[in-house]
Order: sequence, then C-alpha cells, then structure tokens
Amino acid sequence: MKARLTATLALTALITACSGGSDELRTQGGRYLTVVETLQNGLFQPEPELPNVTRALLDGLTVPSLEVTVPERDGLAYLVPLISRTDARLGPLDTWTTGDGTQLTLRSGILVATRGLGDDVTSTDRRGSIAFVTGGGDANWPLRLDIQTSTDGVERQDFNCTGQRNGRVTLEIVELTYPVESLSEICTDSNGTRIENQYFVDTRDGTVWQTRQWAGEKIGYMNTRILKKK
Amino acid sequence: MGAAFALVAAPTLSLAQGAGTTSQQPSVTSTLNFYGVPGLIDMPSGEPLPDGTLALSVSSFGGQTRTNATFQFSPRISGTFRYISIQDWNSDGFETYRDRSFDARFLLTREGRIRPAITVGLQDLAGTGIYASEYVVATKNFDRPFSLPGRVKVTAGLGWGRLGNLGDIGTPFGGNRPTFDPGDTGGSPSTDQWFRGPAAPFGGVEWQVNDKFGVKLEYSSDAYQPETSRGVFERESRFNFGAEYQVSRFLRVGGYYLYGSEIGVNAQLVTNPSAPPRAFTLAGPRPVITRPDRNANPEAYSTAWAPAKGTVTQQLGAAIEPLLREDGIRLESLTLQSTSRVEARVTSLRYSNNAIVIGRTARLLTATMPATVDTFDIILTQNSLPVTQVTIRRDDLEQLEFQPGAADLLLARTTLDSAPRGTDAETFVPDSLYPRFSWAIGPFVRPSFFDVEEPVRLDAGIALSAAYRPAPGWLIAGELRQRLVGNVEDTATSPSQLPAVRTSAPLFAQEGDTTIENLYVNRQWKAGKDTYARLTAGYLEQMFGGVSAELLWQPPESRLALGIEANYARQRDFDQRLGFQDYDIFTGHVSAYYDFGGGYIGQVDVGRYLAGDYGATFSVDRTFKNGWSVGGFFTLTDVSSAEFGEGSFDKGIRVSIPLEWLTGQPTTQTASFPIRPIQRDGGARLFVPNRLYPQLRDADARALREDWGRVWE
Repeated sequence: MKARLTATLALTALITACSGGSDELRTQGGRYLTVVETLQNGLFQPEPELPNVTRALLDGLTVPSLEVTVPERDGLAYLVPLISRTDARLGPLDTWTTGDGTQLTLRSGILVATRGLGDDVTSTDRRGSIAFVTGGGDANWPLRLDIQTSTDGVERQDFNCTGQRNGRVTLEIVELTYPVESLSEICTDSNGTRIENQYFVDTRDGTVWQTRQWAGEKIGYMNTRILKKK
Repeated sequence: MGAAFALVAAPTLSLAQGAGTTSQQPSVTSTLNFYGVPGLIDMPSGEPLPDGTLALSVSSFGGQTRTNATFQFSPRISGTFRYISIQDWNSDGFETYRDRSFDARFLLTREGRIRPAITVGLQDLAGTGIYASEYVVATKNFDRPFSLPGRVKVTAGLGWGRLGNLGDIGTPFGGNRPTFDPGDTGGSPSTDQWFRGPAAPFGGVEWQVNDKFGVKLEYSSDAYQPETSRGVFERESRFNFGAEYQVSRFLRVGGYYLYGSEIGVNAQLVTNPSAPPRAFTLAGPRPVITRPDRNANPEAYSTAWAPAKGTVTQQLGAAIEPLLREDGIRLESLTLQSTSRVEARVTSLRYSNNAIVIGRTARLLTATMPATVDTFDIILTQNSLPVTQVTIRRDDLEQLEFQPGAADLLLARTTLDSAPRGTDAETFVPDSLYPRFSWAIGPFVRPSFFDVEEPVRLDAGIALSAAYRPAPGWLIAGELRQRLVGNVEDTATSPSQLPAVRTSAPLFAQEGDTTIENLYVNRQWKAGKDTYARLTAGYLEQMFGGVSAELLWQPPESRLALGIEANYARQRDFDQRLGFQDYDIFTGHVSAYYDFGGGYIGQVDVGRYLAGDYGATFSVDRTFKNGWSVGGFFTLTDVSSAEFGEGSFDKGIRVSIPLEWLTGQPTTQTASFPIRPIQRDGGARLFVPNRLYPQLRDADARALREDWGRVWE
C-alpha cells in the first residue's frame, strides 16, 4: 500500500514538475525541467505541414519566395526575404529566412552564409564563384567555407575551383519556364575532396534561378530555387 | 495574402533537425576489452582511444561483472575507473566480492607506417588489488590484408602481476610481488610491486570485417588463480574468441566464449564531447542593421539629442530590454556614455556560450542605437558580478559578418577587458530586474555509490527550490525536499577514527524524510578591478550550516586565479531541519586555479578540512569548448591511511555534461557527476553554494575567446 502511494506521489511529482520566474534554478529540479521543456519544444514537435506549391498560390504572395532543400537531412523549406543590404566589399547581400528563423544569405544566388541550421556555414569566400556566375572571373579561383564545429570553433575548408559552361537549357520552376545557361563549378580541396556546385542562370538578365551548392560535410548539398522573384 | 501568410508562417524547419542527421558511419578505430580499455577480449591492446573519448562499458562472464569508465584524458594518457562484483566468492567474509579499481595507460609510440602503437598500462594500480597487473603492449593495423575486406589488428604484449601468471618467461625485473589481499584498505599507488615478479606474453587478432561486424581471438596470460581457487569458474583453455556488432555510433555489443568454459558479453558505450548526439541548433539571429551613408544622409548623424541623453537612455533601455529577453538575454543596465558610446550590461538566460550573448546583443544595438553611437561596450555579468567588458566597433559589425573568416576578424578588432564596477546616474535599469523571484518543483535523486551490499543506492523524491533576489548581488535561496523512495538509509555505517563529518550520511538518510537541503543568504560583489567577494550564511549543505567568506582574484586573460575562503561550519541535525549538533569547526582554503591551455585546468586548495585535518586537494580537469569537462581529484591531509580507513585518502572523478550537448537546444544548465570510490571523513570539504571561480569562469575573457566561433550565430 505504501509502495503504491509512493509510486503515485512520485509519478505526480514528475508530471506536475513546474517552475516560475525568469531565472533557471541550478538544482536537479531545474535541470529536469529544462530537459522536459526541451523535449516538448524542440524534439517532439510534429512535422509542419507544407503547402502544395502552385503558380496560383505563388501569384497570391506579396513577397518573394525561395525554396530550399537539404537532401542529406530530408529537409524542405520555403523562405522569405528578411533583409537586403549592400556590403562595402561584397556588394548586395540578400538574407532569407524561414518562419522559425533558419536563415540563408545569398549574393547573386551564391550561398555566403547560413544561420540556424546547425553545423552552419559561418562565413565564406565566394568571390570567385560570384564572378563565375555573373559572367566574369578567372580560369581558377579559391572557394573558402568556414564551418561551425560542435566544439564552438570554426573549421576552415579551402577549395580550388574551375568552371564549366554546359550550354543553354530551358528550366521549369512551378509551371513557368526560363531560358538559362547551365553552369558547373568543380572544386577540390587538398585532401582530394571533390564537390560540384551547379547554377542555372537566366540568359536574359542573369538571375540565378536554381542552384545546388555544397555547405560542408554535415549539411551536404543545398538546393535553392527562386519560386517567386518579386 | 492568406497564401503569403501560409508560406511565411509555416514553421518549416525540417531543414535544421531530422533525427540522426549528425550521425556518421561508424568507423571503428579502437574497441574495448572486458576491463573497459582498448583491447581484445580480456587482454589489452596498444592503441589509444580517440582524444577526449569517454567510454562506459559493462562486461560479464563466469559470474564476474565489471562496470568500467575510461576517459582518454590526452592523446597519450587515459584513466579507467572500475567497479566489479564476483559472485560465488564465498570466502574472506564475502559471498559476492565487490571492489573498485583505477587503471592508467600511457601511449609510448603512435602507430606509424611500420611501427606499431605501443602502450604501457597499470591495471588496478593501487593497493594489492585483485586485478593488479602491468603490461607493455603493441598493436598494428593492417588494412585489407591478403585481400580480405576490412581491417585486421594484431596485438602482442607482455604482462606482469595478474597478466604474468600463466606461461611466464621468467622475471625480467626480478623481485617478488605481494599476492592479492581481499582485506587490504588499498587506495595508495603500489609502486613497489609494479613490473615485479614473473612476466608472460599475451596477444591476439581482431578483424573488423566492415563497419558493423568484428571478430576477436586472443591468447590470455591470466590464470585467474584467485577465482578458480575459490570455485568462481573453471578455466579450461588459454584461448578466448568472440564477435562484436556496432549497433550505432555510440553502442557496440559483443558475445564471447572465454577460457574454454564460459559465455561472456560486453556492452560498450562510447562517446566524445566533440561529437554531440544532436547538432547544436539555434534559430538565426536578428540581422545587423547598417547605418545610412553619412554623406548621403547627414541628418541621421545628428547629435541634437545629446542634451536629453538621460531621457534617450531610458527610452532606448525600455525598448531594448524586452527584445533582448526574447533573445534569451537579460539586460542588467544600459548607459549612453556619450553620443558615440553605449554600455550594455547583460546576462545569459539561455546560452552557455557567451559569444552568442555578445553577438546577439551587438546585433540589437545596431538596430536601435542612434547612428552616432559607434562603439559598443557589452559587459558580461554573472549573478550581478560584472566580469568581462567586450568593446566592439559598430563599423566592424556592419562590415565583417560575411567576410571570409568573419569570427576571427571580429575578434581581432574587439577588445576584451576587466569589466568596470559602477554605472552612472543616467543608467537605465529595468524595473523588472529587482526584486526577482524564481521557483521550481521537480524531482531529486541522491545517489550513494559502492556500499558493500549494493553498488548504487538512491534516495529520490520531490524538491521545491526557490531563489529570491531583492537587490543586485543579493540572493536568498533554499530547497525543501520530500523523499518518496530510497534505500540510502540502509547503507552500512563504518566506524571512523575521525569526527564523522561524512560517514554519518546513512544517519542523515535515516532521519530525514522532509528536509531542508539548503537555505541561505548570499551576497556577492566586485570588490576591486580584478577581485570578487562573497559572503554566504545559513544552511549551506545537507550536513553543515554556517558562515562562509570568499575573495577571488581573477584578472582577465590571466591563466592564474587565486582565492581564499574562510568558513565557520556546524554539523546539522540528522533530520535536516533547523537544528544543529555540537560539532563545529573553522575550515578554509587558499586556492590557486591555473589554466594550462588546451582545455586543461588545474586547481590546488590548501587548508583545513571539515574533520579538522590539514592538507591539500589537487585536481585536474580537461574542459572542452562546448562545456564538457572530465577530471579527477585527490586530497592528501595529515590523516594517516590507517586513520582514514578504506581507500587510504580521498579521491574521485567528476564529469560535467552541458545539457545542450545532449539536446542540441540552448540552455545554460549542466549536469555534473562527481564519483568517489568511497567517501570517508578525511579530506572532506565543506560544500558552499555559489563559489566564485565556477561562477565566473564562463564569462571570463579566456572562456569568451574559446566560445568566439559562435559570435555571429
């Protein structure tokens, strides 16, 4: 009887664990609550329902839309512009965000940073890539990724790249077609790791409609598509 | 518009998470033996674990169970703590024999193209322990030998002591070694017997067929004399073999046939602080807002507001405070020091990494401060103590975020210094800051390890904890506990020749169901440029109450910190309510903390302990940038081994794991596990809540540099 009462009380205690005030208490109870809250908020949230994207739906949008997929993580998200700015050295930069704060910063469609993905691309040197997709540049160029590590550091990865122009094709994105040039950026690092980024660039105004870009070993490749430009 | 809302608000991110996204293919480097160290089945091997690896394992065969914890403290040094039980012992007064032991291993040579990895190991290195042995062992890996798939690992070694008692080749270093003594108090390193007596060769082969399967075959040099002579099991063969399966990145299991008579199993849980189960993920920050060009928009840079600086400060502070709180940061104060400089004092509410606090505060300042303000002084405070001042130029924030090497560039242009104490009259202080009250109701667990009857005893129940902060630096806190289940009270009490300051734990457990775990008043303040002070009074811990005073000197960027602490402590009543017993003592220590770099932190505390003994505690911790720490400590005092009793002197290991490492979500909470093989009365230190050094370390300039990689996150 006593055992049953005790078990009931213990169970009640676990279920009713709660707290108040703005300071996390550094007691066992405080830690327990942190874990419970994390599990509730972070890990066990249902997968969000994504809309069925049609051109009619996109036409109804008042803001541009960027689709991003991360095959390595089975990830798909639709991003909206957060801010556009011009950097003194790098030129225009567009930061896109999801509803829950995952951010991608692109310049001329080239990925220059991610935030909120985990194992993020902290910063990059993509000047060569940008020159390549905007029609200029050298025969070879460096590509640098600074990847966030799990020990709060940043790991630098340096590649040497060349470009390949694959000719003109027609690209379809949600019921609309664009005349684009297909470009490949082929890069290797000193360990022999080889990556291949792809870009589909509008032959009329240079818009980079669709890309596949390497974002470090943990994230793998990211695919971006502009669903709605303006 | 509705569609736009759907796309904007869809809280998508399957991008960020996804179970197992960080898991990699298990590329097995070293596997564990039955003693929890890199090895074959019962024999050790020569290679180390990857640096920083923490390996927990449980093995069992022939009624013998070994629970092992191994930590690869540095690339060459590892330590193991082990708890064992041997059933059917039926002698020396034990039905089941239980013991604890420590191992140390040192890698002599790393594996090269031709050269093998060679390790020298000391097993059960203290006292005349049951597993006492020493060995030198070499291991060489061969990838795809004879066109076989996978990797073959060949191991050969020479063992002394337990590993030298079967098929010995003589006594290379001569001497006799004492035999195993089940009644020995143990605890002290038995250097006089190391590598003495007969030595015997052992060896074997491990074939890692692919990333999942491996098989092992070994020749053992262990005669298992103490066990077979007591009928624990019968040893029929010198050969052991088995197969292992890598279940996941963390877990490996194996089944074996040992000594020609016994089936064995081994489960290995291997983790590394630098490989969290889930990637740390944090929603992206607010964007840096750049100011308009000065030439194009000179009005934006007007200082017409200067005469009303006080009012502007109040308005800006009131605007920023809720936004920062939303970002998991508490604004302690905001001061516009001039039209070009602002000081914001902040405390982390959510992040153990303070670079994130700096980055996010700075981002918000770029969005809110008048354009003329071009310098941000962000002061990290911990429990009202201003610790480090970080001075960042607004221009750098605007220009560097997307430059290659952005984190390093910003750090190079940022100044880290000791935080000033005061603020001026125009300072904005949020109304909600004081008084502040927080509380939590939740479960508690109080474990008691390594009793002779039960290896783990637990008391568990529900606890109400509360903290009240009436003014800066003041804290009134306490915890009320109701035990619901437990068996710590059944722990055998053992007589002590010293005042029973810790061995009375079972009495505390027997008399306390509804208890006050602690209840105290704490006042702390910054006493000088680099010095911090603390006064604490009340029921400080489960067994003692009293008064404690501490002074800590910790300059920014300094590897060395010095502290002094003086306490008057009186033993509490066993029922852990308000009363006290007669025993009281003045106790205190002078402490030195030294950061050796590379994450190694040493600490020496010299002084008087609770039982009135004088001595020193030495500890070393390996800390990782993400907040993990693993370390060990020992205390030597003027109490003799005989007076101390079992274990000879106080020692133990401790592990701290940040909860965000486990969950991938930001939190400042850390789970700590100190484990002592046995707690006696000698070398026992008073537990005082809110000691200064641990409070300040995370916000110190050195720690901030370690954290800096996440400043833009």
